[in-house]
Amino acid sequence: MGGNMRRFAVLAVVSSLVLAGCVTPYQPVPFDRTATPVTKIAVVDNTLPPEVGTQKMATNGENMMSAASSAGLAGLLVGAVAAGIEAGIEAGQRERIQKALATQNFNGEAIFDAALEEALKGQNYTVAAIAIPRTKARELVVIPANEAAEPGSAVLDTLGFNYGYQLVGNSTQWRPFVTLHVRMVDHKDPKKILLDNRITYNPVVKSAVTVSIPVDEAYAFQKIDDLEADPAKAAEGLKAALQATAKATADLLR
Amino acid sequence: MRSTSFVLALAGLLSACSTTPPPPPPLAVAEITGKTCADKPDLTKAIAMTPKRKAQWHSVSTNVDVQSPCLTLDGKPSNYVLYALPAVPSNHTLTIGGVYEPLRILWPLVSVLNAEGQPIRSFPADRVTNVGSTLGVQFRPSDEARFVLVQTNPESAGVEVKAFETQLVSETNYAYNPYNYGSTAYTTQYGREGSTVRKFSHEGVVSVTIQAVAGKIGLPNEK
Repeated sequence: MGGNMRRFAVLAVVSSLVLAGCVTPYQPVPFDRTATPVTKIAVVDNTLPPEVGTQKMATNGENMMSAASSAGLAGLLVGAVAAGIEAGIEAGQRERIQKALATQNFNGEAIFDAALEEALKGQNYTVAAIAIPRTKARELVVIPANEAAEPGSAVLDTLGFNYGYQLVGNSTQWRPFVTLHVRMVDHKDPKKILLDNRITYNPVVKSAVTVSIPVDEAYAFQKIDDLEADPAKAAEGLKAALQATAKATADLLR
Repeated sequence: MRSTSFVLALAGLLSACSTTPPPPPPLAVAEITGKTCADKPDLTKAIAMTPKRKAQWHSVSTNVDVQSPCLTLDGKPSNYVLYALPAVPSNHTLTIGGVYEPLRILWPLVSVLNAEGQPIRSFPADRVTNVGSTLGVQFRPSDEARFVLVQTNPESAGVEVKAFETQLVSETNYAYNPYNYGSTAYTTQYGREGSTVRKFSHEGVVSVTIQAVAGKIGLPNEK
């Protein structure tokens, strides 16, 4: 609870700074394969949060408003800001969703990694995993320069900000969501950013310059009880979301 | 004479009371008819991407309609919009796409042209993705680039596309405030979700978002 509140406070400050114009809006870095011929991609390990999350939108609140107006950060902020609301009720629901998914041996990281590797190989990249400790949760890793790296090698961090099930308001249903921050840098000179973008699966707010993926309508649950009654469908829905997000990540590298 | 003006005045009063329903959203245009299309875009009619006032972020929206010029693409007509890039093109991130409208969406075929109008880079139809509230592409042009050509896709026009969408809805309401005998505005926000069915169209809206990497648009050294 304390942690939640603190994060909430920090985000509130961030969004107010954005509103005040102190922070420049988010600027993506699109990848250009012709200009930067990358052939080998090392994908950073352990990119998703260890546990499945939830996010709920308050039906009324200033917080949502400020989150929505901060154009660049909106996609990511909305989740976190909303996470601070109704935290108590939500924690119980999150636990129930996590338990339901656990009965299916759900492993989001494995699903995402496999889908990403397959999609990248499909685009003729050589793919390997690289273990770089993530010192700060929900932050991109600091990639050390590798003098020995061959030309055309890059490191890709696909930071999963949050993923799981979300409920966006009254008369809506629990549906899967994923928010991701992807960045690829040159392995020899990590200061060279080759790609930077944000991908949201089932976004509530679409920021002007980030990538979004519409949700697969098939996976929806009226109540947590319904989700618990069909955990296989719940796992399948989240799997579809993670696979679509992995494919969208690889699509940015075409 | 007098009775006529009385009737007119009455009609005026009546029409003021009746509410006119908003016009229905525009439908998709699957075919371009009655236009003579050129082989090359008219470089003199390019729309500037550089804003009048110095800015780091700028957006341009262009309507593609019956009056828009057209090009022949593989023997088929296709409407187009031509944009002129700012100075030092490589200092900009461009997000260009067709705007999602209630019933239609323009599938953009984007290519980058040099000063002579020759294509130097093009994004095939399968390169488009959902960026922001558009279907489009995102890239940084090279320094030899001068124009960006956005064409409608004759292959996809008329094809139906379904999507399930989540939206944030804002509503401003007013409540009577007994302290100042006035009203206080408050904003309610909630999520909404639902299925949408659109058709790809030769007409619609093209949106361009221009972000300067350093400095301002067209002015990389400006603070």
